[in-house]
Amino acid sequence: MSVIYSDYNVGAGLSKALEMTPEQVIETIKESGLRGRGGAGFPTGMKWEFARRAEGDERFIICNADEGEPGTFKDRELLRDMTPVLLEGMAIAAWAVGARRGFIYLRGEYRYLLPVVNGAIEEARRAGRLGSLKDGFEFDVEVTLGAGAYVCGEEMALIESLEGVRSGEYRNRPPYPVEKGFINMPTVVNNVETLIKAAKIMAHGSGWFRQYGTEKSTGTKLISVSGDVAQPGVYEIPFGMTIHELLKMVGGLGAKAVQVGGASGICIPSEEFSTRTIAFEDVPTGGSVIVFGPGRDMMEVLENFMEFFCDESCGYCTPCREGNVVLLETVRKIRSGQATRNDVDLALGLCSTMRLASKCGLGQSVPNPFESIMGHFGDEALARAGERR
Amino acid sequence: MSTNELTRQIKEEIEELSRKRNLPRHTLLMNSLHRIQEEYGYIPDFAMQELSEITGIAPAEVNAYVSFYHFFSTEPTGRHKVWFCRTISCHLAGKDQIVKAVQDRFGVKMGQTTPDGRFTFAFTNCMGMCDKGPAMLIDGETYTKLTPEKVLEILEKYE
Ligand SMILES: Cc1cc2nc3c(=O)[nH]c(=O)nc-3n(C[C@H](O)[C@H](O)[C@H](O)COP(=O)(O)O)c2cc1C
Ligand code: SF4
Ligand code: FES
Repeated sequence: MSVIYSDYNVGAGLSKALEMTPEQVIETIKESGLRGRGGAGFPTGMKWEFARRAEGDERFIICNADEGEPGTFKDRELLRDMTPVLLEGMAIAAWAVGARRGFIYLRGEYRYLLPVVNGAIEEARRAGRLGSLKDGFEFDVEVTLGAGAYVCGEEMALIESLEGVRSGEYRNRPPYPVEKGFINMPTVVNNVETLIKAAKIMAHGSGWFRQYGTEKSTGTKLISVSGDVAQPGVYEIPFGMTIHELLKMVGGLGAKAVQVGGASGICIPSEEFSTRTIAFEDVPTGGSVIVFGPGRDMMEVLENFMEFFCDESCGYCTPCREGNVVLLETVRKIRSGQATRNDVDLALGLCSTMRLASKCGLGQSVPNPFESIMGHFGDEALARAGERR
Repeated sequence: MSTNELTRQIKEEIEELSRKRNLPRHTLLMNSLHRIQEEYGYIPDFAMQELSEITGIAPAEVNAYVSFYHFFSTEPTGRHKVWFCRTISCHLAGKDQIVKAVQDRFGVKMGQTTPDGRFTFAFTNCMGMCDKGPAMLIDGETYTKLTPEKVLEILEKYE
């Protein structure tokens, strides 16, 4: 079972796509049911169609290679082994929406991959997979390196970063990037894995892709597994797999809890391992699975997540800037045995405000880990603190 | 390196990129900053001033942009920049012992530079090496599966 690592002749997907009209390409991607692999799961064919229909003098394709969600490292492997296919996916997207230029936004932490990526770009130009691709259709790609900022993986923040704009300025939406993105032009932002899958779908057909996964989450997902497991690493699974099956595969049975979706994802306790599945309609993820063994203190985990958000919030809007600090203080109070039930309730109230009033996905998703970890392990931690007092 | 303006070479490279791309000049900022930091080891004030002129972005905005990113520094740093991951998987894998070994050996804390100017140590967040933690970056190179002994051995190789 493999989509990503299936046999593939580089160039096959692009050749097929160029024999079709852009509308037919979009139709094929829609039929495949492909949804964004960066986390939010937006239908890729629809995104391309919006960008194609939007008004603009020029259009852009941006590959999001910022991979900053804690516990995620599958794009690292894809960039190392499969940049040629990624470039093909970008060219296919460009043909579908009518773009001439693309950017790969590569996180600064992956600077060591820059020679690999640039080498693949040069090779693709020589082989005619970038540059002049068809009468009247040219497409080329360049890389911009990030500089260490988690929020720049959020698509509007990424565009700010590419444009030289301080973080936060564009975080009011709509309009979405498909209408007004990079320099106000229609822009498709897609994850590395999404674009590679698009190329493979063009080569093998939408039916081939749909044979894996569930009705609402078609195909496979690359999962990065870390934490207390025997075999950490990158795995390709069909959507719909239970957490239990996943843990069995990676040598993680006996875990106390699993954080799915990284710091901004949700915590699943062991009671739910055999009923919850990895899928957009159940437990969604951009690919991060972090496993906690029986001896772990989940408040310590939550404290680490909250330190992360305090550090990475761009500070542009108040609910996120100040909310994170209060949530961190609450966890620290619990850990030091100073917190009461009331402190926890106040923090949970703040979570609702942050979800509603934060301007971007960073602040809006902080409640995910806070509520789920507190919900499953908060009482136990408060009780422990009470005993100590 | 002690001059107070960007080298002709850098300015020409920025103009070259601008010609090649033919995009609004404010889009030159990120690439230019990487080039400047590569040259000077940090982003000096005069460079921000000049970048403001080159890109048409207000000086305060250039400053806000630069200070937002972990990997840009507005102060001179040690010859080698060492970043330790402090995020969850590396935390679970024992990053505290790694950091302690380094602090004990060099007598400085995270965020500080060794008195001989050899290293600047700092924390950063998840660097995508979570399956091989604890992880660190030295001048852009990654090192993984660190132990207190291994980290000191690796650092010894940097002059
Ligand atoms: C705080 C934050 C960080 C994000 N980081 C990434 C990232 O590193 N990589 C990524 O592909 N998407 C990331 N996203 C999601 C992007 O905003 C966007 O939805 C995605 O790149 C779209 O591509 P896709 O439809 O192919 O998934 C992030 C979102 C948020 C809110
Ligand atoms: S939610 Fe947080 S990261 Fe997003 S704009 Fe507001 S302060 Fe910045
Ligand atoms: S948590 Fe340290 S590299 Fe991801």
